[in-house]
Amino acid sequence: MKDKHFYIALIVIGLIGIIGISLLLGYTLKLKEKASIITIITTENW
Amino acid sequence: MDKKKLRYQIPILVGFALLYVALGVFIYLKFTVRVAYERSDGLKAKSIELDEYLPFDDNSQTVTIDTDLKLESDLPVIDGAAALYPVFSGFVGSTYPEASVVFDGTDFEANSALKMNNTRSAYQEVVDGTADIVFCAYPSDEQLQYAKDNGVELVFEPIGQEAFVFIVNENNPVDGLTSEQVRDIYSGKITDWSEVGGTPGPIVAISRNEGSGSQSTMIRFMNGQKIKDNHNLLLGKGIAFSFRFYVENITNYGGIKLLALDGVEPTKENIRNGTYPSTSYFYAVYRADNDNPNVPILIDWILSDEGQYVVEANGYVGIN
Repeated sequence: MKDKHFYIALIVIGLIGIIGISLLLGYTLKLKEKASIITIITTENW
Repeated sequence: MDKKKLRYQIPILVGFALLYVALGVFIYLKFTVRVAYERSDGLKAKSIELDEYLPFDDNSQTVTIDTDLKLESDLPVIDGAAALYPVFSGFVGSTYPEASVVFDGTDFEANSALKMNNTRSAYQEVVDGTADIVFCAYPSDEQLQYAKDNGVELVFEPIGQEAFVFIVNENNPVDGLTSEQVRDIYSGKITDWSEVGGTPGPIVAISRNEGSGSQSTMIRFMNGQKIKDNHNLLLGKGIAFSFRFYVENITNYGGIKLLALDGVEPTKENIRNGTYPSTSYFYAVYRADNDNPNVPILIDWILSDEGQYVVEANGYVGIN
């Protein structure tokens, strides 16, 4: 693999990862707005 | 040369990808799961089920009483808070004709004399005149203002009592708080469980939406201190508030516990003997200018021994 291809692959994986994490965080924050009081308390990990 | 490079390039790429996957899994397990369960069938099933407390259903959990009061016409339209639904369903089941309640399997129909649209809608309906009597906790300032803006005088008749309770996860080592500690938590002065005898970790003081009965009660409990917005919902361990019977019986949630307040457990006995420090009345609310002749008749019956029996038998504490 040429260096150029290696760096392109790194950038592509990085971009996919950042987009994926952003979508997951956005989804989580959206759910948070609708979560009920008791849902949050009962699902806490102690 | 290329093969030599491949030996470290491929592991780097795979490792880089796995790093993102691991980060995603961590975020999902730590944060997303905590709020995602709201959508699961399991928790949806634990919200109030109207059909479990229908007034005339043979398998209903609502308790009614045989009484001489049988309303036949000019039936007051009844609505109210979810937490009080078993009680006002019991009033209807005791005094209304069966045909007056029209339930389509999931909700009450428009022509039903019994409805359950919760506190916020109920207060709007009684002011607008689409409900005659609503059963709720004391209203918020906004709800009082809505009545005032519409030139409506509301009558608040206390018909029973209930404990305003604070709840935490059942594994939280804290079993009780003082009223002052609760106010300090909700005003943001106390922010860590270790400050109140618990395991170190941030406290998430969870509130409800404005206009709900429990939120209005919490605002009064704070004695003028402002409830601080809590933005730590995804990280800390929660404390929340509600009404005793709603938490213990109607929703029947597992995994939570009710805290003692100022050293007193929120039991029915402690509500009745006045030792639990945060006991609230709940009210029959109607317009002062309501000319339905059955409104005062029904209110008098609710305050009678028979009506108060229905309050008690459905899990609440009467006013006498």
